Amino acid sequence: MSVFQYKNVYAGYSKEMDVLHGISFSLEEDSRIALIGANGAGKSTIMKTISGLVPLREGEILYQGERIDTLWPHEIVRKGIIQVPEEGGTFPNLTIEENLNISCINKKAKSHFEANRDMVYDMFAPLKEKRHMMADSLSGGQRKMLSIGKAIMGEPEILLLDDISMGLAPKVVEDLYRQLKELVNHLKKPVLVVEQIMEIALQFADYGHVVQQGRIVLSGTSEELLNSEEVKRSYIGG
Amino acid sequence: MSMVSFLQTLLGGIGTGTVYALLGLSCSLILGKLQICSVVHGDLAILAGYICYQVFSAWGIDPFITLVILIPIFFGLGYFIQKVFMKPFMKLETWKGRYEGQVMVSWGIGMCIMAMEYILFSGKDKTLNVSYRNATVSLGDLSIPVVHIIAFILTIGLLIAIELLLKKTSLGIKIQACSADATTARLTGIPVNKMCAVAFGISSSLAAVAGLIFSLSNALSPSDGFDLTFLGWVAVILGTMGNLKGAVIAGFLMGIIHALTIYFWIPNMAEATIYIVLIIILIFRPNGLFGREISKRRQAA
Amino acid sequence: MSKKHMLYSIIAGVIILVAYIAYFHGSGQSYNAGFIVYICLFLIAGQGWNLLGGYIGEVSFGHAVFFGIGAYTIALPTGYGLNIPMPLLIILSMVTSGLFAWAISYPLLRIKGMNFLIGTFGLGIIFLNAFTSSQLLFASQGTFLPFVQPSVLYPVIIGITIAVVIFVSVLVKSSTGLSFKAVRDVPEAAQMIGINLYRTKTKALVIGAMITGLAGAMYALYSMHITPSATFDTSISNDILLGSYIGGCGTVLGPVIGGTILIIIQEAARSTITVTGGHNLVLGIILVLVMMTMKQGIWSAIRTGIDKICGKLSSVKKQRR
Repeated sequence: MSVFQYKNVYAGYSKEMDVLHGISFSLEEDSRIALIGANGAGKSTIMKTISGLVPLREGEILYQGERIDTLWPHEIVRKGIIQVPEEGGTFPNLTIEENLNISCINKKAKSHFEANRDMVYDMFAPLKEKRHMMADSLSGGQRKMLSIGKAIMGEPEILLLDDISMGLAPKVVEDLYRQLKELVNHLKKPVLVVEQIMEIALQFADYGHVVQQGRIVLSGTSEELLNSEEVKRSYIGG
Repeated sequence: MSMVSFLQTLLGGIGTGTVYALLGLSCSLILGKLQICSVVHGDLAILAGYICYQVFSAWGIDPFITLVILIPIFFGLGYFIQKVFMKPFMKLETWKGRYEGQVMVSWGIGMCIMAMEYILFSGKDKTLNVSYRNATVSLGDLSIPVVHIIAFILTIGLLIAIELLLKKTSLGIKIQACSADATTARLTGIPVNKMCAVAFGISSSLAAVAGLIFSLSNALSPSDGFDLTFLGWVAVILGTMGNLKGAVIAGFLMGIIHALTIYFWIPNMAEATIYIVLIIILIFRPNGLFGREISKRRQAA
Repeated sequence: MSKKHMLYSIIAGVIILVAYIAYFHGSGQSYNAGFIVYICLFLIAGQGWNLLGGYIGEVSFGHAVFFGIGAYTIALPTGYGLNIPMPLLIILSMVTSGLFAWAISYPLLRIKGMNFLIGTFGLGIIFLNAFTSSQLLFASQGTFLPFVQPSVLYPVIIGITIAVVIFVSVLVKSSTGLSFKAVRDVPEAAQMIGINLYRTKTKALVIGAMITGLAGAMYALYSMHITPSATFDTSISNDILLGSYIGGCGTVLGPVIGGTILIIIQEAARSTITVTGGHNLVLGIILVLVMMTMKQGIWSAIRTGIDKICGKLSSVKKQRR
C-alpha cells in the first residue's frame, strides 16, 4: 500500500469556486514525484491542502492509512509531512540557530537534533557562518537554504518542496537542486516537488504529473514527460 | 517653582506612569507582536482591582497576596477569551475585518465586565485602604510613596521577565515566530492558535498587575476601564508597535506628561494632554518614538 | 440608485413623516414621540459616521467631537444672548463642524488604522476635557437653549433623518461613493486610476462631520440644555458607532436598523436593570453575539437570508419549468 494517498480532492479558496477538480495521486516509499504545470494550474494549492492550510471540499488525504485532512497544520507537520513553502519559510526576527532549533518538533527529530544540525551546516556553509545572526540578514538563496534546513531539522517522513526556484537566480537554483538531490538520496523518504521550471523538476524526480486547470491531465516517468509534445503544448497553452 | 517640587512632580509622574507602562507592556505583547487587538485589558485591570478590594475589605487579606492567586486565574481568563472570542477573526487580514471584529467583540466583553462591576460594587468610588497606601520614603527633601516604589520595581521586573521569556525560552521564541509569519509557523509545526492564546493569557495577567497598581493609588470606578485600555494603547503606539521596552518607556513618559499638566496647567486637561502629545508625535513619527531604533538594529544585524 | 428607486424612497419618506405627524398630534403620548425623535438623532449621526467608518474603512472613536461642535454652535449664541434666527444657526452648525473636520483632516487622515482609532478617541477626550474646563464655554454646567415647540421640532427632525438617509444613499451610489469604496477595498488600485486617497478621505470626513454636526444641533434643540458630558462624552461616540456595527457598516440601511435596535435595547435595559451602568451588560452581550454570529452586522445577515430564500424560490421555479 502507498505511504501517502491523495484521493479525488476538490478544494479552493472560496466556497463558490474550486481550484482543484478531483485530483488523485499517491506516493510510495522512496518515490520522487514532480507536479508540473503552468502558472495558476493549482500545484501550490495541492501543497497547501496537504499541509492543511487550505481545507478540502471533497475527497481525502491519507498518510499511512490515516486521514490527515482533518488535522491542524501543526499536527500534520508533527507527523513528519514537512513542506518547504514557496514564500516565507523562515522567521526573519530570529537567529538562524533559533530558526533551526524551533523546527525540531517531534520526539524523533529531537533525538537526532545534533546530527541533523551538523548535516544542515555541512550542506549549507553560509548558514554556519551566520548562525548567530538574524535571518533577515540572509540573501534570497540563503533563506531558501535555511527553509530547507528547517525541514531537515523536522525529520521529514515526506518532504514537500514548493517552487524552490521562485525568485532565485538560475545558478543558485541549480546548486540548490544538486544539494537537494544528495539530501534526498541520503534521507530515502518520499518527496513531492512542485516546480515552475519543468526540466529541473523532471531531472530531479522519477515520475511526474502534469496539472492543468486543477486536473491531472498526464502522468508518466520523467523521460516520457520530457520528450512528450503534449507537455510542451500544455505549458504554452496554459 | 523650586527644583525640589519639580523633581517631586517628575517622580510622581513616573509613579502614575507605571500603570500605563504595565498596560502598554500587556497590550504590546498581543497587539504589537501577534496583531491581536483587544480593548478588554483596561476592564480586566479594573476587575482585578475590584477583586483585590473586595478580598481586602472582607477578609483583610493583603492585595499582593490576592494578586499571586489572580495571576493564574487571569491567565486562564485571557486564554479563554482568545480561544473563544478572538480566534474566529485571526484568519482575516489585519485591518480588513480582523482588528474591527476583535475591537468590537472585546469591547462587548469589556462592557459585560464593566456592567458586572456596576451591579456588584455600584458606581461609587471604592478605595483600597491598605496600611501602606499613604506611606512615604524620604529622600533628602523628596518624599516618594512606597506604592510607587513597589510599582516601579514590579514594572521593570516584569519587563525584564517578559523580554527574557521572549528571547530565551522556547515558548517565547515560538511566540516570536508566530509574530513574524503565522503561515510559516504553522508549517514549522507550531500551534499558532495555542501560542496566541498563551500570549493573551500572559497579557491578561499583566493587566491584572496593572489593575492592582492602579487601585493602590486611585479610587476605583467601573468606567475607568475603558479609558485605561486606550491609555495602554497610547503607550503601545507611542513606544512603537511590538517594542516592549518602548511601550514601557512611553508609559512612564505619559505619566510624566500627566503630572506636569496637573502641576503647570489645568488638572482637568491631564488626560487630554497625553492625547495631544500622541497626535503631534504621530504626525511626525507615524511609527512611534522608537520606530527608527528598530530599523537601525535590523540593518546592523 | 435609479430614479425609480429614488422616487420610491422619497414617497416612503413622506408617508413616514405624515404618519408620524398624525401619530404625534393624534395621541398625547409625548414620551413615545420624543423617544422616536431621540432615535432619529442617532440615526443621523450614524449616517455621518458611516461615511468615514463604513465606506472609507477608517474607524473613528471620536465622532462625538462633531456632534458636540454642532450642538455648541447652536447653543453658544443663545447662551451669550445673541439673537440669530434658528434656521441660520442650524446651517451654521453644519458649516462649523465641516470646517473643523477640514481643519483637522490634515494631521488626522495621515494616521491610519489602529492609530486613527486611538487618535480620534483622543480627540474626543481632548474636547471633553477642554469644554469641561473652559469657563468661556460655560464649563460643566453647560448652557440652555430656547424652547422650540415639539410639534414643529419633532417632524423637522424626522424629516431631516429621512432626507439624510436619502442623501447618503444617493451619494454612495454616485462616483464619489464609488471612490470611497475603492479607497477602502483596493487603495493601491484606486491610486492607479487617479483617485487622490487623501482628498477622498477628506471628502468623506467633512461630509460625515457635517451630518454628525447637524445631528448634534438637533440634539441641542431637542434637549434644550447641553453640557460637555452630554455631547462630547465617549458614550456618544460609542452609541454612534455601535449602532453602525450592530446593523452593519458600509451599508445605508445597516446603521438605520442597528441604531434603532441599539437605542431601543438600551432604553429597555435601563428600565429593567436599574443599577447605574448595569444596562451595559445587555449591550455587551448583544455586541458579542452579533459580531460572533454575523460578522457583517444584522442588515447583511437579513440580506443574505433574503437572497437565499429568493435563490431557493427561483431554483424551484426552474425545476417546475
